[in-house]
Amino acid sequence: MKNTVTFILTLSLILLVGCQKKNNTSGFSGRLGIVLDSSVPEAERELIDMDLFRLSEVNLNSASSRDLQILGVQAFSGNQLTSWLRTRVSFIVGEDFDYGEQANIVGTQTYRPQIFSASLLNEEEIEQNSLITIMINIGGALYRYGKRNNQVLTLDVGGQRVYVKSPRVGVIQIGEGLFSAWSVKSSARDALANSLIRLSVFFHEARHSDGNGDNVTFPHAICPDGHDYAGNYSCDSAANGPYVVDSVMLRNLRNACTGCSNTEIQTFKSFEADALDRMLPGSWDKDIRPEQIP
Amino acid sequence: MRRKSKKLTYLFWGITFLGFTVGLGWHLSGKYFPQQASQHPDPFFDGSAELVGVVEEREASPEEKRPLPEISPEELSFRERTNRVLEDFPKKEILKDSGRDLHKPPPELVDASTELGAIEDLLDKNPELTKEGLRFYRKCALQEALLSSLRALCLHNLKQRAERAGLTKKINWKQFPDKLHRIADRLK
Repeated sequence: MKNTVTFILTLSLILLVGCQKKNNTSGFSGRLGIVLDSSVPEAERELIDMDLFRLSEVNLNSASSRDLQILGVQAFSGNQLTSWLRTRVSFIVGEDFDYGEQANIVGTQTYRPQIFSASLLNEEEIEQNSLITIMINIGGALYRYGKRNNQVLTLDVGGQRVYVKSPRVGVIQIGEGLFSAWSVKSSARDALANSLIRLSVFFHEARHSDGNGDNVTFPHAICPDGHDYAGNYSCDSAANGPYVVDSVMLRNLRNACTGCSNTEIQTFKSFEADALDRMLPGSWDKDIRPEQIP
Repeated sequence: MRRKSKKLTYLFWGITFLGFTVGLGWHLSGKYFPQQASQHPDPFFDGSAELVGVVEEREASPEEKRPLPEISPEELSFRERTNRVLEDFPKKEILKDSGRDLHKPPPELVDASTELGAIEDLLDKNPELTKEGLRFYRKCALQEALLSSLRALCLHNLKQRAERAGLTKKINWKQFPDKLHRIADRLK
């Protein structure tokens, strides 16, 4: 009898462990120090690992001195680019990850007014972001939320409880759109071009982990009248903002896309044109240094 | 004295008649034998430094309408295809749809890029379609209703194709907005 009970308990334990989704730290992303939350579907994990591996292998000689300045790196080498990304992206969560449930308020924080002033995360922007099925920097959004409400938040992600004390908390949510609607249709999901396009989106979102004061998380600016996106928070007033980072990466990764088809190149260029169009005239470089709650 | 006056009268009427005849001839030749569009026998150019639109776009009364320039079946097929593509290209209006994520490029750009890629393939394989290709890119870049990103990409492709074909000087680049030039030039 005792043996039977032990056997059933052991079997149940094995089944439970086997069925439970794991937070992945074993793939290439794990080696970089980026945790893939259990909410990321298996197929997407493999693609992300492959994308990051490809990034680690690139050597983008086409980068201009201005490109280097925008990212603040010495060279567009695989090593430096993965390191840049790793600094700003710590967790990747899936579309089903409910940050409303996983986030908790654990304390209040009085912010220093000389650092924290006006424009915080816009309600409209949050609403827009909630529709996103491609990618969103949740960590940055939560940090701004806490800052506006003088609250310190935690987020349960990747099997850890993370204190949201800086925009660099680096929690990025990805959606199915990243692997479908925004991919070159005639190319496989694991094609080099699609991999590089996905990476450019990561770089865009990673820039949202930077900044301080009014410019914390490098929020987007309202596009002016006459613009395609007029009236929406879809432009950048920073010459080193997310869309500029996006366009810089798209251009350089496109140059690394050897053997890419005309369709793939045209897709790179159309995304690049879209990003360039969003930079407002009179933009200037803004301070990328991230602020932090002590 | 009288003979001299008579001679002058004959001379006056002679010159008048001659002038009238020449004037009438010039007028009729202009009406029934319109001048060539340009020094180029090629219907693609109108003699000025800019590309002209397709001939059928010009305003003319039915009797004055010039016949379409002869184009090969391949060119005609290409033109029909690109006309359809232009009609289907995403317009700015789509960005006003509710529930759309405006943070990232519209997914319609992916489909448009697929079409542009196919057109680039055709132009690579068939150099004789170059002028039709330039015509298409020019029309695309000039269509204000289209997404600016798409227009800029068309302008970029126009620049690249024109440069490769040695036709850069034949295009009036001033007809395109500065903003599009700025974006197009950064796509290199």
